[in-house]
Amino acid sequence: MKRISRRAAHYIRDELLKNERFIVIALDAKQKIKSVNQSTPGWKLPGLIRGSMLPDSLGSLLEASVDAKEPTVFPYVELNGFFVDIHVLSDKGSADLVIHDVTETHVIEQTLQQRAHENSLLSEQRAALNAELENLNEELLLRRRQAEKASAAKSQFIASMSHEFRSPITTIMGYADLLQAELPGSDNPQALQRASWHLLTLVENLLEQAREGDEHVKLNPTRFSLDRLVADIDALFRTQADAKGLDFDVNSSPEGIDVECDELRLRQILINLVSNALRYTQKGQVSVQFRHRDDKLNIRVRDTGQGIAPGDLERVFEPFTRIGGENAPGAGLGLTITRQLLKRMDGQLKIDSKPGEGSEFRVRVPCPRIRDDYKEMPVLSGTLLWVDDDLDILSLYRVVLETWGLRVLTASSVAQANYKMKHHDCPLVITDLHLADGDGLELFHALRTEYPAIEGIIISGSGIVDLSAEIEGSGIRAFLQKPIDAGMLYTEVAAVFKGGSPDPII
Amino acid sequence: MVGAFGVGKTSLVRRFVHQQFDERYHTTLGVKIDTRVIDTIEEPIKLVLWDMEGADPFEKNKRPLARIRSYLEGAHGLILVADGTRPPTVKTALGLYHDFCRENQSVPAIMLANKSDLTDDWRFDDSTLPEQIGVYHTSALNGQNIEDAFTAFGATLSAL
Repeated sequence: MKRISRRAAHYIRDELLKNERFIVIALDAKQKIKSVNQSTPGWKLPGLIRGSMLPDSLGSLLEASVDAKEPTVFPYVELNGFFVDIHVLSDKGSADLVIHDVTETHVIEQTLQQRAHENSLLSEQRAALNAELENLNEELLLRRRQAEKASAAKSQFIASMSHEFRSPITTIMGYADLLQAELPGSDNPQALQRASWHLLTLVENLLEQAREGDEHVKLNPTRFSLDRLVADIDALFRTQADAKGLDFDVNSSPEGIDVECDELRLRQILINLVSNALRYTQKGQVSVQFRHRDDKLNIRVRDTGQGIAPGDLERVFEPFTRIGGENAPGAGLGLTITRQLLKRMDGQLKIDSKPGEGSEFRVRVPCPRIRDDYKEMPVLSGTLLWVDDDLDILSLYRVVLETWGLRVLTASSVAQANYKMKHHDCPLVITDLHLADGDGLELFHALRTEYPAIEGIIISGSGIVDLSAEIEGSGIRAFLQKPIDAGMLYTEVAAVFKGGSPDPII
Repeated sequence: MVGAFGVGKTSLVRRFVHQQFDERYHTTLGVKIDTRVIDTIEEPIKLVLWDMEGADPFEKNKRPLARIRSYLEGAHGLILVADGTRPPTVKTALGLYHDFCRENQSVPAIMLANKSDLTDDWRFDDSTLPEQIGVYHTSALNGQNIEDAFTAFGATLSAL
C-alpha cells in the first residue's frame, strides 16, 4: 500500500482499528520509559510506568532486536495473561514498542492447535502401540512355534516310551499264551498275563496323562472275549480283597460273548476303578457287575468304603488328588485317566457316593458284540516274512505262527528283509513300524514297488500313530498295535493264506 | 527453549521457575517469557527463559517454525528439549539447532531428554548429538536434574 487517500487512512484508523487495542511505549537510550499511550483507556499492563525501567520480559525483546534496521515483530507473546504482538521500532538509541492485543485471535488459533497436537500425539501413541503389538505378535508366533516344537517332541517321546514299554510286555504276554497252550489248566501263565496287563495299565496311565489333549491319539478296537476279561479282573484282585477280608463279587451277563472295543483302555478303566474301590474299602463288600446290552457295556463298581463327600465329587478327577490325603496310596491319576479315556471312547461315567456308606461308579461304553467265531483257527499254509528289531518278538511270533501251520522267515533289519525277499516267495510281510535301521512303512513301500503282489501288516508299539491314510490302496492289510491281539492277527494272516500258498512271486 | 510440541518445555520452565507441575497437556502458541535468578558460586545470574511453541516433528505445519525463527534471533543460548520416549523429537530439536546455527553465530546449547520418569517407554538415543551439546535426563514430573541442568547452563552463559 504505497499511496492511499487521507479519507481512506482516516477510515482505517477510525473504523477498522477502533476495536483494536494498542499500547505504545516510547523509550530513551537507557530503556527508561518516556511515555505510555493506550488506545483503550481501560486496558493497562502492570509495570509500564513513565520514568521507570522496562520490565525484564520486554527488555529481552528489545535486546533481541537491538541491531535490527527494520521494525521487528514478535507475534503471540504472553504478557500478564494477554497475548500480544510486539512491534519494536528502534532508531539511533531510542525505541518505540507497539503492543497489539491479539488475545482473541490467539484463543481461536490456540484451540485449533491444541486439538491438532492432541490428535498428532494420539496418532504417535497409536503407532507406537501398533508397533508394540506387532512385536508381541511376532513373539507370540515364535513362542507358539517353540510350543509346537516342544509338543511334537513330547508326542515323539511318548510314542517312543510307549513302544519301549509295549514291546517287552508283548513278548511276556505272547509267551504266556504259548505256555497256556502247553500247560492247559495251569493258572501260572494266566497269572503272568494278568500281571502283564496290570503293568501295562500302570504304564498307560502315566502315558495317558502325559498325552492329554493330544488329538492324534487313536483307539485300537480289538475283538476279545468278555468272559476272559471278567475272569482276569476277578483273578487279578481276588487275592487283594481276600487279604483285607472283603467280600469280592464279580459277575457278568450274558456269558460267552465276544465284543469289540479298545481292550487295553477298557482294562485300564476297570483296573483303575476296582483298585480304587479296594483301596478305600476296609470292611464289607466290593462288587463288579458287567451287563452287555444293545452294543453297550455297562459296568458297575460298588463298594462299602469311606465314600466321597459331595464337595469332593469333582475334585477326585483332578490329577494327583488322593481323597485320603497326601499319604494315601496310589498316584492319584486313576479317576483322571478313567474320565479322559471314557471321553475318548464316547463313554459315560457316573458316581453315587455317601460318606461313610460307600460309592458306586457306573460306566457305560460303546462295545459292539461280535457274533462270528474266530477262535476256530484252521491250519494255514504258506511263507511270510516278519521284520522286527526285537529278537524276542521275532522268536515269539515265529513259534505262534508256526503253530498256525505257516513258515515264518524273520529279519531284524531292512537289509536282512531285502535279502530274504530276494531269495524266498513271501506273499505277506509283517513289519514293525520302528526299526533300528529304518522305517517299517518305507520298507514295505519299497518292497511293494519291487514285488507288487505282496501284502503287509504293520505293527507298532507307539500307540499314537494314525496310519489309516497310509493303508488305503497301499497293499497294507492292517495296522496292529502291541500287545498284538492274536485273534486279529490270525484273521488278517488267514485272509492272505486261505486255500494254501499262492503262486510264487518271483 | 526449543523442541517439538508435547515434549514438556512449558512444564520444565514451570517446574524450574514456579516449582509446579500440571499433568494436563496445554499446547503453547507463541512464546512465554519467564525469569529466575539463580545463585552461582561467583554471583547471582538472572536467567530469562523464552519458552517457545513446539515445532511439528513431521513439519506438516510451517507457521510455528516461522514464528520460532523470529523468536530465536538474538538468543544467547539454546535449551533443546526432547521427549525421551519419542525418538523423532530428538531429531526435531537438533534440526532447530542446526537451523539456528546456519543463520546465526554459534551459541551454547544443551539437550534436556525429558520424561525420564517413564522408564518403561524410555528410548532416548544420544548417538546423533554433537559432542558440544551436553545431555541431561530430566523429569518435569519429579524434578529430576532440572535444577542442575538450568544452573549449569546459566553458569555457562554468564561465563561468556
